[in-house]
Amino acid sequence: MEFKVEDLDDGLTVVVLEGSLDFLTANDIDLEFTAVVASRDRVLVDLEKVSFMASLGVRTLIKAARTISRKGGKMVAANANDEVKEVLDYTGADTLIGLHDDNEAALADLRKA
Amino acid sequence: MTENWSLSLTNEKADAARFASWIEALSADADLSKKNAFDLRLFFDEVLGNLYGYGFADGRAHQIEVKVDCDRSYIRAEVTDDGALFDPTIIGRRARPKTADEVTVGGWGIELIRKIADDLEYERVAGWNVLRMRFRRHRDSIDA
Repeated sequence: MEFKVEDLDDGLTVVVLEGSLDFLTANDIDLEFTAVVASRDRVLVDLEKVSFMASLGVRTLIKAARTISRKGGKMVAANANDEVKEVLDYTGADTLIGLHDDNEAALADLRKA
Repeated sequence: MTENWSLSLTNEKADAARFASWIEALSADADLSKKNAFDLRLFFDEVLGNLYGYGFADGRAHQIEVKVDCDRSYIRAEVTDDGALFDPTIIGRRARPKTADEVTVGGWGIELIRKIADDLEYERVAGWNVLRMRFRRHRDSIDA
């Protein structure tokens, strides 16, 4: 699982994940997410290149979203494929993490926060 | 015609890394639809994730057997392990959270399996946990 962070000029951050977020890889990026959310409060997670996500991957995202939410910030996600979207919906994760069809809509949502 | 595949793993996490390439190769070999491939992997990920995370607390070496067979109508998946007795089918149902405050970090593995499975059964056989799942096969053209 690749994990890239891009800080934008207006205080927003984009985290790009690439690969499978599964029982083998989810824990590997826990530390990286912890570091990101410790110092940022408006984060977009770009899921376009996430081919697979199971409940441990959802858990990683929820933990990050909760940390940001407790600071009064917001985390959103975008570009999930249909199957990943279904997992996020079924677990209710999308009630905490706003899901968007593209980065533009997701960033607009973060700017309102 | 039924096709079948199997993989033997140990409870060493490094060994579990062989699973990803096995399931990808199997999905291509069986010409599974995108949705079927995802759901099959999801079943195994939830079961194996639980096993590697919590299933072997005694510090001993353990075995896991993973099997798939497919025919034109169904995909059948099975995970067998020699860990402590664990029947996931008796875990209570949970409702989808309605608000952000209700969202919890864990406990969704079995619910995701239930969502996929047309049939799910567990038995304990001679010290082994056996979990079997069956779900309907469909083609990408039908998915569209």
